[in-house]
Amino acid sequence: MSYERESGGEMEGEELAFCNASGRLLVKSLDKERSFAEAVDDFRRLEEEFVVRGCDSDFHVLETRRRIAELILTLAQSKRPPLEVCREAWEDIVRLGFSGREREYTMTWFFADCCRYDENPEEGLAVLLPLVAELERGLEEARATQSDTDFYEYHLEPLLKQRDELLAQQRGEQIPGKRTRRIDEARDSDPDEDGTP
Amino acid sequence: MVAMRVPRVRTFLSFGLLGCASLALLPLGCGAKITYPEASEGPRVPDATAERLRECVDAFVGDLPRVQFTFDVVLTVDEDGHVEGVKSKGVPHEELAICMRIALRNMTVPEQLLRLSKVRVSASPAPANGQAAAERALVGNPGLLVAVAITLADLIIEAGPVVIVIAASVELGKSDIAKRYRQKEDDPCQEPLNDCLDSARQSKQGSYWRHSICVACHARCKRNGEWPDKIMMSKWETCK
Repeated sequence: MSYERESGGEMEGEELAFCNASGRLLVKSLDKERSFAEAVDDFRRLEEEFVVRGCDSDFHVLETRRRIAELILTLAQSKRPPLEVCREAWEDIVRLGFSGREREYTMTWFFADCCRYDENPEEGLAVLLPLVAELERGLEEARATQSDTDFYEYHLEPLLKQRDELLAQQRGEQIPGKRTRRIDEARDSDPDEDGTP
Repeated sequence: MVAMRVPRVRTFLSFGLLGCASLALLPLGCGAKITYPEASEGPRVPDATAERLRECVDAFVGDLPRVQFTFDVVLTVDEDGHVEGVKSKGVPHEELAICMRIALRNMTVPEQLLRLSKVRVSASPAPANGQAAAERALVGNPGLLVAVAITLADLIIEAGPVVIVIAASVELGKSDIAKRYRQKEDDPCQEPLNDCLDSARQSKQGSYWRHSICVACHARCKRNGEWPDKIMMSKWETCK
């Protein structure tokens, strides 16, 4: 089931208040001095405030919780807590369900990137490959019927790139320009202190 | 900041105590096993982390050049208990050192240690009446809160002839390491997000309820590494 609506209209009232508050909180949370745990606490407080404000149905409450869960996974991908923490954020989204296909493609990429960073390609590929297959099938069908292919191409691009990186990682190859926890670990340590007899 | 350095004497003490070590926690069939010196006191490395350290030793034991060594490690932990930095020395094998640092980086700091961080201690590293900083913390020293440094019980991993003593300490509180860890390369999506939130686009509906175009542009930026000109929603929407 998709909860998609027409984009581009003007928001107002409590919906605008939520988007303003959550957007500002995202910026604040991305600050390097703000820890992931602090950011999650902030977002949970915002969630509790807005599941009351402007929500007059279960659907509104669910969608508010989904938006918060999506922002927390976005932060996990940026702030790189341990993979277990990122996985919890992902499982929270899965539990709440996706509002639409676009949401699933986007959030799956974020979790797969957590897996790539922690060099766990199998787990990332397990969530990514079914979506790639689905989009590739849709693309083939759209081409066969001479329909618009934009939707499939647009969403395939980042997922294919992520898939190729995870496959390369699975083969034990380094991915140029991509950080991993191991690289960051090695960089954070004083090079003079380890590897010496 | 308390400059915590694990005294060398711990190493000798640990090897001495090893002779009477009797508590084999994980005598698995895959070689390495974990023990603690019988007389060890204080908090220990959590079992899950100890197991991951053991796996590291198992993976590289065949490459190690000498029989006994001590892995001195100082963990820097933030106020929420997350390990933010791992400084280590003494492992004569780079891959093993990395493996062990990753295991320690993922450690969940025991709650008993987090509780200690709430106690004020002196910033001075000098012992007072023979007490270490952590011991003073336990009796409520009213000095300035800078950090708390706590020595964990030595963890000994034996794998055939190889014996590794892991002498770990935890520093609680903000530190240079923690700050450095946070100072990763600039995020190309952060400033454009801020600009978007300041613009008229912020009030534009995204494709879902309580979903804004600015946040959707940010998500696309994270995936593509640069702020997009436009994004696909129910129709193309501009991000700039």
